[in-house]
Amino acid sequence: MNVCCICVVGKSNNPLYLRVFQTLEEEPALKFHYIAHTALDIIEEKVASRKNTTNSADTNLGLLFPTEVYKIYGFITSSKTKIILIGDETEVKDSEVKNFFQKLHKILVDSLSNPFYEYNQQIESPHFEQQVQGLVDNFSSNKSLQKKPSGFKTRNNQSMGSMAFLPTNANI
Amino acid sequence: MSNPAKQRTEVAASTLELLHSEMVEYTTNDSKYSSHKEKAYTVLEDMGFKVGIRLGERLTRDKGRFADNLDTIKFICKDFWSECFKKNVDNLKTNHKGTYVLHDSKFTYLTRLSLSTPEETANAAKNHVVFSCGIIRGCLSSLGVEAFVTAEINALPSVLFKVIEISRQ
Repeated sequence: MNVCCICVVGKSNNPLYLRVFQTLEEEPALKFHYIAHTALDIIEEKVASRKNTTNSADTNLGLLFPTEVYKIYGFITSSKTKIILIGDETEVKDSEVKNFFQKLHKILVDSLSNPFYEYNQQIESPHFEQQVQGLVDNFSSNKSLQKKPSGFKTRNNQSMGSMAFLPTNANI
Repeated sequence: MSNPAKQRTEVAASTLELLHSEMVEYTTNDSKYSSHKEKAYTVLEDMGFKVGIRLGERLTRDKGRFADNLDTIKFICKDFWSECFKKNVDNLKTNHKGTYVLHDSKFTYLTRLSLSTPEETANAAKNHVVFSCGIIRGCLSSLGVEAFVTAEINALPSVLFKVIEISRQ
C-alpha cells in the first residue's frame, strides 16, 4: 500500500493535522477532507459497537471502508485522538498497518509533549512533519517491489498541513 | 516510559522536588497575588494541568483504551501514581456516582516538608498539593474524564484527593 494521506483529528473531532502525500489522478486534495470527515462517523460507530466486547481496549480499528480508489484505515487513542490513514488499493497486511499506526502514535505523543505546543490545536511543528515524512518513506520503501498502478501521480513533499485546512469551526 | 527496560529516562528526584517547591514559592509569594491566594492557586493548578494532559497521552500510549471511568481512575491510582509520586495510592473509595476519594498515606511532596511551627507546616502543605491536583485533573481530562480535583490534608504527610466528575459520558 502507498500512503496517500494522513489525518489526525482531536478529541472533539477538530482537525489537528492533515497531509497529502500523493493523489490518484487529478483529484483535488479537498476530497481527502471529505473522506476523513466520513471516516469519523465510521470510527464512532465502530467504537460504539465494540463496547463491552473483548477488543474494546484495542486502539487499532483496522479497515474502516474502501472507496473506489482508496482504502481508509483508522486508529483511536485512549485520549480519543483519531488517526486516519488513506492509502491506495494495493494489498497490505493488517499487522503492517497496525505497526504504522503505533509508530505514528509515538511520534504524535512526542510532538504533543512539546511545552510550546498549545494542546488540541493544529500541529505545525517542522520536526513532526519531518518524522512523519520519514515514517511514510520507510513504509513505502518496504513495498518498493510492488508496481504502482498506472496513472499514479506522486505529489511528494507537498504539505497540506496548514494551508488546506478547513476553518476549525467547520467541525470536520 | 512504559517500556522501562529500554526507554526509561531518569530524572534526579531531588532536583525535581526543588523545582516543585520553587514553583510553589514563586507563585504563592508573588506580590501580584498577595491579596488573592486563590489566584496563585489557579496559576499553579494550571501549570499542573498542562503537565497532566501530556502525561495522560504519554503514559497510556501502549495501554489500549479504557472501558469506563472507573478503569481510568484505577490507572491513575496505579501506573500514573507510581510514575509521578513513586508509589501506589493506598486506598480508593468511590460512591459509584462520580465521586472518588484517593488516599495517599505518604505523599511524596509532603514527606520532607518542615517549617518552624506545626501551623506553618500545615499552611505550607496546602500550597504543595495544588500542583499535583492540577496534574491529576489534566491527566483525567486527556482521558476523557472532566473532573474537579481537590486535596484534603488531615495529618501530614497523608493526603486525601477528592475527584468529582463534572459530566458522566
